[in-house]
Amino acid sequence: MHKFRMRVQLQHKKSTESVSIVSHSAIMVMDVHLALDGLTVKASKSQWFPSRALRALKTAVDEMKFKVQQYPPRGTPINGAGNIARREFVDNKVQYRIDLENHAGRNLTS
Amino acid sequence: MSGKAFVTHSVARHESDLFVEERIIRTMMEIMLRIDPKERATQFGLLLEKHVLKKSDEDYADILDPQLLHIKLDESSESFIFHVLTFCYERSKDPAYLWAIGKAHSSITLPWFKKEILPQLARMPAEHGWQALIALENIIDDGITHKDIRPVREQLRTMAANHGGRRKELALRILDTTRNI
Repeated sequence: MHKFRMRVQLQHKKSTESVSIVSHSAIMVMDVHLALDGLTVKASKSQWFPSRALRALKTAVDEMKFKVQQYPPRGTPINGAGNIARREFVDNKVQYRIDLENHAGRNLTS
Repeated sequence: MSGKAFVTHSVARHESDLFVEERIIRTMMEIMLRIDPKERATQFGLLLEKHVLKKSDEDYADILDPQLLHIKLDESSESFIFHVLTFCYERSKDPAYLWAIGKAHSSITLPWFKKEILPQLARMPAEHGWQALIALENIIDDGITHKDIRPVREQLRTMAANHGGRRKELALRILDTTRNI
């Protein structure tokens, strides 16, 4: 397994779409941005995620990208695993959320 | 002892006795001892999540230890892992365990959360408080009764009043989404 691992996940109740980010060196902000873009593409093809909610998802993704940019140079906490950031959005009274999780390694130092 | 193992003492002290297949316990403990201690919380948290969300092995191939990837949990083994994680949290106070514990079914997690975490929630250090709120939101998503949500909302109000930043933001949002439960 790769030493550095993170994940972005879109969730509504028990429906999820996710993109894992794995690397042999520390994961960078740009990697997470690309993963968030990948998540948007996955959502657009997903059976459970409505296409009308894509606009709200893109806004939430942009907000998440901004949050992630704040991490360098300190990066994720040393040995810090778990949830790094959560962003919620609502479409048609249905709530969705995007999570960024750190699974292994100290990431987002650059 | 063969087949089923009787688990008591610290890992099962929060609920009635558990019967878990010995082979599952052995596998879990072998993995627990083998993997990097820093990754215990995430690996077992992801295993719980895969079980609760009924996801395929393929979805977790990049992020779950190959030995854990093919394990199929049932209610007893889920409960066993939950108790191991609470034990690890109580010993280490590593907030990553709170995140992992929040991945189990709410029926398993909520009684412990109410007793051990909720009374401390508003006083927890920032990272502990954040991972506890994340776990709490997962618990609520999985199902919580009107009776159970009342003390939760009280603590969330205290947290929102005493803290700022992302903890306050999340506490207020959970208060908003649970107002009709």
